[in-house]
Amino acid sequence: MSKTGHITERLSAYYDHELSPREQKQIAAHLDTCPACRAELEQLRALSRLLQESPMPAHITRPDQFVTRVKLRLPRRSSKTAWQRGIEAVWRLAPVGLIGSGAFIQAVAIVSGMLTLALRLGGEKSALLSVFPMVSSSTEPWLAEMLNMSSASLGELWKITYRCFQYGGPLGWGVTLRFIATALISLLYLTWMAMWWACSRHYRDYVNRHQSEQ
Amino acid sequence: MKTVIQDTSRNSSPDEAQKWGGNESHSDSELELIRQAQAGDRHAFGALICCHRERVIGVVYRMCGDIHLAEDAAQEAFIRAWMHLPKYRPEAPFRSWLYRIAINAALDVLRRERKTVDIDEIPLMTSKDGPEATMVQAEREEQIRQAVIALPDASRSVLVLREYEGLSYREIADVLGIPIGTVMSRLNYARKRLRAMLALYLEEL
Repeated sequence: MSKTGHITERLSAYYDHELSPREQKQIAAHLDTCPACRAELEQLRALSRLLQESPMPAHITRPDQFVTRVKLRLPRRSSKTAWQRGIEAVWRLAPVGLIGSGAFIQAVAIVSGMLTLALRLGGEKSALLSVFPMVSSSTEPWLAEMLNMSSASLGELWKITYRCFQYGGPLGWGVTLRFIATALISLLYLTWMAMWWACSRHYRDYVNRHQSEQ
Repeated sequence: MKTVIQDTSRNSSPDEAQKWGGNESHSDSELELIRQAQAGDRHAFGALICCHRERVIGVVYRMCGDIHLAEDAAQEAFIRAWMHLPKYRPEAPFRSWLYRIAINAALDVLRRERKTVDIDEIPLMTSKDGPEATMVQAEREEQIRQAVIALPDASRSVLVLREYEGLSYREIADVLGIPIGTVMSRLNYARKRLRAMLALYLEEL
């Protein structure tokens, strides 16, 4: 590549003052002696002037209209990560889950209580088992004891109660576990309520402070 | 000779702007607006749109050559900017970050519309000269506009940022995510093409 050709390639950068000072000087020196390169440079200047002759159209949307249009089209944006969104979903669903769990435990307790009461009142073993097929004596040992209660005298009740405790029946582990579970759920729910109240109060204070600053 | 177009900016995400080493410093008020907009404040983002609207429309207009398409592309650019704003880091110049989004939006809108410029859309010029001179001037402007649009996307982006926005080579390289050497070669190519296409008008100057 000739020296002149090399300079021609760099003439664009020279025109934009984007070369190093040394290169700028080199090309300036060359331009002093080369009419062809000077004409090239003049063409670049003329091109810039010509390009500026194409103005922006006058009929552009007014700034306020443009901003309104864009703002109307702005989608909802979540700056939270998937992990944060997951935690938030759990936080929001926590009371539903806790109330649901509590209600389920209470329902089981009520059904068990009714079953026990019905047996005490002398219900038929077979009839009860057909009504509550999911509760069998094999899976619920306490039921086996209860089913024998109909014929038992009141004097033997303490023995049955003792055996029920041994099996972990309704008066033993079953009741204890249900009591603990209900207490735990209530505690968690109250904790959630307290945290929710504290957060909403903090947010209210923040908003009030922000508004008063403005 | 055909220049190899390697527009890496088309495939890169705006959050790459984080690694840009721009020299432009944000004013405190703009920085505050950016922070508020990042937090989801639409009013703050509206103020940012007001500040940068004209320049963004200018860039996309030069890229599209049609004001209606340009306004669509500018709106699209601001919507994309809103979506990507949480990832934006103020170390990078906001204007450059926005230019990059705007150029990509303009090219996407052009590709989608594939609209040819209608000769009837040439804006009427208000001139002291008579109607004939006005028409000649309008045709001249149209020819210039068409010549710019006829450039390949990659060269046109560089030319628009240099000639109309006055960005330095470094800034153009940052906006488009290309080396400075590529900026120089693309600009050289664009100017050569334009000089050939507009030779008639250049002789008159």
